[in-house]
Amino acid sequence: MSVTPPQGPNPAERAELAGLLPAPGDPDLSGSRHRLLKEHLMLEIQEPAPTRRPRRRLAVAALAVPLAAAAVAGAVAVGTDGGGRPRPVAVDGPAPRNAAMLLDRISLVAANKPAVTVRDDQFIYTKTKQIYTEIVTGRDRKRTVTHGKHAVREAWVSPLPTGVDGMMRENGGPLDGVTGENVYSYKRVSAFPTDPDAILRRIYRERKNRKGDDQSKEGLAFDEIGKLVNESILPPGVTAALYRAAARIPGVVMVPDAVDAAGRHGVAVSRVTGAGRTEWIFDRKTFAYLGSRTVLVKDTDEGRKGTLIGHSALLASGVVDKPGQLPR
Amino acid sequence: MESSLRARIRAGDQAAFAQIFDEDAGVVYRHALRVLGDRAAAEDIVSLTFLEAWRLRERIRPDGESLRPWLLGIATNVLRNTGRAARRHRAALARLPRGDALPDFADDLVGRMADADRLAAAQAALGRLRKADREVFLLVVWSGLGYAETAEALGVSVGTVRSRLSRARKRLRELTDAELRAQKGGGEREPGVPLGQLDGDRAEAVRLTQERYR
Repeated sequence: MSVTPPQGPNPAERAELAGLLPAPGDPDLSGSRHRLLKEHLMLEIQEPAPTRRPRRRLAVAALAVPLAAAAVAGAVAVGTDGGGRPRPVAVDGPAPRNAAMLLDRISLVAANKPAVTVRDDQFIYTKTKQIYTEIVTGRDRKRTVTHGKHAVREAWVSPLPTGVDGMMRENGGPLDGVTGENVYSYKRVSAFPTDPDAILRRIYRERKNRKGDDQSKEGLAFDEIGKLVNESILPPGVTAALYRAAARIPGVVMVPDAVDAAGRHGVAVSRVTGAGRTEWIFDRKTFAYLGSRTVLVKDTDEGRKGTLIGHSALLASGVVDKPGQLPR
Repeated sequence: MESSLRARIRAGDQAAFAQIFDEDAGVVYRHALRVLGDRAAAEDIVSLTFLEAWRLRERIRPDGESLRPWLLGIATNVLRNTGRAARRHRAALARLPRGDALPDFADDLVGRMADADRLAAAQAALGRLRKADREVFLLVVWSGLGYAETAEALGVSVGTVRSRLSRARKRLRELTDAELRAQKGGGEREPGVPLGQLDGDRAEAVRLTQERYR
């Protein structure tokens, strides 16, 4: 905050100081690298094309209203006993025998969970344990791949997509700010249609346009739905619809026994996405989301076939008033 | 002019941001290269620094002169915790064009090898300093910032900058004297010892996979 004019060592002092160490040389960023790095940076900070976004938003808004109404009517007929209390039926039925049955059960349970209200000025807290693969590019541009790095990550995220900074910390360390647009914000995702077909159409449309992804639209959609729903707090109707949408993706299978990063066993739905196969793991009795696990199904530069490249467990989540607070 | 540049960047003007990249990317690169001694890693630090700068642009104070101290302060933070910055910009980093390891001309190769030797020697010497003192030394002596600018970059007082710099000077003089004594007395000196201190933060560019990116 100082407004004094910049002062530093005078040239003689600076020379004396510099003379205490070997000269570092004056190696420069070459012109071509400068241009490439600049091009990359300018692409990365690009906002999405302004002409397209409002149109997309309008289309979604128009869709959401009638579908939401239909979904509410459906939920009353199927999910509650008329007094508004959840029916236990969804949880107690026979063990699911395939992915469609399992996701059906998961979404029924989700639809009957009490809705959690999230005010715009609050924060959504999630605590996850993650085991991941770290790829380090070191000296000589050699890449070192380290599997099995651990982190317990806590995040406080605003329900709004932009404008409010969030916080995160790793392994109980200091809080660190998180800014920037959150495309998985509560505000945006809670406005999703509650018709699974509409959701899937929308995700296929959006994922198809992503550049640089080299996998099937089905695999991308499975990944995307996982990011939208698994660790999230959302209106029950939206959570249910997202899991129903996942059930409609070809190639999704059930895995009878899977283990999350915290060692908890459950039942999973799984699909090949890119070079890996990802499992979403759920509690066998409550059908609550536990965590996920990704294993390579072919040799890549990240590792050999069969390597575990991602493992997580959702340890806690809730709504709090301020970043740094924990849910009751 | 600078103040309007600040205002434009705060407001999200990409052309203004491109301008500070042109002006200061080289300064950030040299700073990172002197800390890391590795070109590819230094390029990653440049990218991460500017991605962080863009993310934090609304925190630019409206008044002030050059944005260089602010950028070097961000670079210092990125160098302190490269892993965290890399996680935050994981997707962007994955799209970063990789450098060509081969130099364009034979002349350049000779130059680079000499550079590399000098860099390694300077880096080893820097490793003898405490981290906080080293950061001040780098910014004041090698990147040419003033005391107030260095204070702004590191978020400390001018007095702290001065005392860290004088501690760095004292330490380096002691080491030089000890070296001279050792040479006169013919005493044995372990070769290339004092690199150890740098090990903890030889911040190589870190790529992470399998992390949710919000």
